[in-house]
Order: sequence, then structure tokens, then C-alpha cells
Amino acid sequence: MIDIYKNKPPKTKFLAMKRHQNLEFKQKYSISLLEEFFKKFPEEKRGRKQFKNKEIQKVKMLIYEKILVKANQIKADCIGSIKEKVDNKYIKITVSYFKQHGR
Amino acid sequence: MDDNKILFVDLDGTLIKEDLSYMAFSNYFKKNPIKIIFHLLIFLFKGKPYLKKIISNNFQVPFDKLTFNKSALEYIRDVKNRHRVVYLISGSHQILVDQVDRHLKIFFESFGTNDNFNMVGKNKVKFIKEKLGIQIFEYFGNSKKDLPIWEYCEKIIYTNVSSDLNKIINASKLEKKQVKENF
Repeated sequence: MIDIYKNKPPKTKFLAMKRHQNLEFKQKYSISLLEEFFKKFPEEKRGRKQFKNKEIQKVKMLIYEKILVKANQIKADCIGSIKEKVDNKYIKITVSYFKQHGR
Repeated sequence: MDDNKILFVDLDGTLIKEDLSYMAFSNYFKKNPIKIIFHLLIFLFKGKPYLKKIISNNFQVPFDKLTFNKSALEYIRDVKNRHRVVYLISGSHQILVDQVDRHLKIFFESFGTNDNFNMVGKNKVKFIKEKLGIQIFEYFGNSKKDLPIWEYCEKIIYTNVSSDLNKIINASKLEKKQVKENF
């Protein structure tokens, strides 16, 4: 079970893994295919909203999956200091890994 | 004694009898005797971290052939039981150190030589103080290269030392703790 904290986890419980601080996970996203599709078939766009946000959410999910896989690999007990940044091309998520005291 | 001090443990000679870098080198030499000459030439320009990386890539540490220092492991477990953080730090490449860390599962984290940083002697102190930001720590080692590190500690924790080093340690004014080697 991996604990997840948006900010730093409590120092009394977790200790920073020095080699795994502020690691950036980056992935490209694009809605150009969707936009092309809607240009060809504009009638399909009806009723479909916020598809860019939905695409961003999906890519974020993929990135978080990678983050959790990494946590398992390095035997981390907690993920904290999570920062998300979305620009026109990339989604960047920065995280730090922590381990429980005495493990 | 401060029970909260972080303990750094050396690998080659301290925790195991063998030298992992040497094992990786001989393995690489047996497999690619011609290639190693080429890499040795580049090593003259690029330094030790380069060679350590080349020989460590694709080298699986043969744990069944390693001789572990049982009393050192016991000492580390004892320190851990007192809720102290124990790190593994070694001059061998990170790839090899990670394998040992994953095998033993007693260290909080492990640090080894990186692509451009040779984790030996004073470099270890530099790494601990500057990169990790740890000012007060204890170090468990076995070689003459560890002397500059002990200078920054209040206590010399040692095992499997040569008679020369033993004399130097005995002449030191620092507090001493010998862990009798048991390979």
C-alpha cells in the first residue's frame, strides 16, 4: 500500500529517499487527431464537450501509473510533493518518493 | 552515543569479502578481451566512473559466490532495530550496489559510483555533506581510503582491516568500535 500526499508527507512517519526527489515524469499529448476527425465529421462533435481536458486526464492517468510502477520498483512507501504542469505539448508531473521510518 | 546518527556502510571488504568492481571487470575481460582494451584507452580520458559503468552493465552479481560478513550484517540489523537509518555507500557502480541493496533488503537506500562521480574516499564525504545534506553521521568501513571519511565522524566503526590500518586506527584519538569480521 502506497500513501499519496499532495504536499510533503509527515516527517514523523516518512523519510525522503534522497535519490528519488523531484523526479519529473513527462509525456506528450495531442488532440490533433480528434480535431481532424471533428473537421471531417462535424456532426460527431455535438454532445462531446471538454475533449481536450479528457485527453489530459487520460494522459495524467498513464503518467501516474508509471509513477506507481516506479514506487514499487524502488520499494517506496509514499509519494509526495506532487506538482502537475500542463502546457500545449507536454504534461509534466514532478514527484518525490518517501519510505517509512525503520524500513 | 547519539542513537539518531545516520550510519553509512561500505560494501567491498566491509559487508562482503570480494570486490564487486573487480569481479565485474574479470567477468567483462573473460567475455570481451579485445573490447576491454578499447575501453581501457577511453578510460584514460574519461576516468574511473566510465570504466565502472562499462564493466557493470549487464553484470549479474553472483550472490551465491559472495562471502558476506555475518557480524557486519548483525551489527547493521542491530543498528536498524534501534530505528536508525542505514545507507549503503560504495565505490562500485550504482548498478551493482542496487543489486546488493535489493538482495539484502536492510538498507534505507544505496549510493554508488555514478556516470560522472566516483564514490570513493573524500568524494563520499562530499556526497554525504553536499548532496544529501547530512552533516552528522557514522561510517562503517574497512580500508585506508575510508580514513578521510572517519575524520568527519566522531567514531571509527571498522571491520576486516589490515594490520597497517589497525595501527593507524589505534593511534587515532577518535572513539573506536571494532566489528570482528566473520566471513
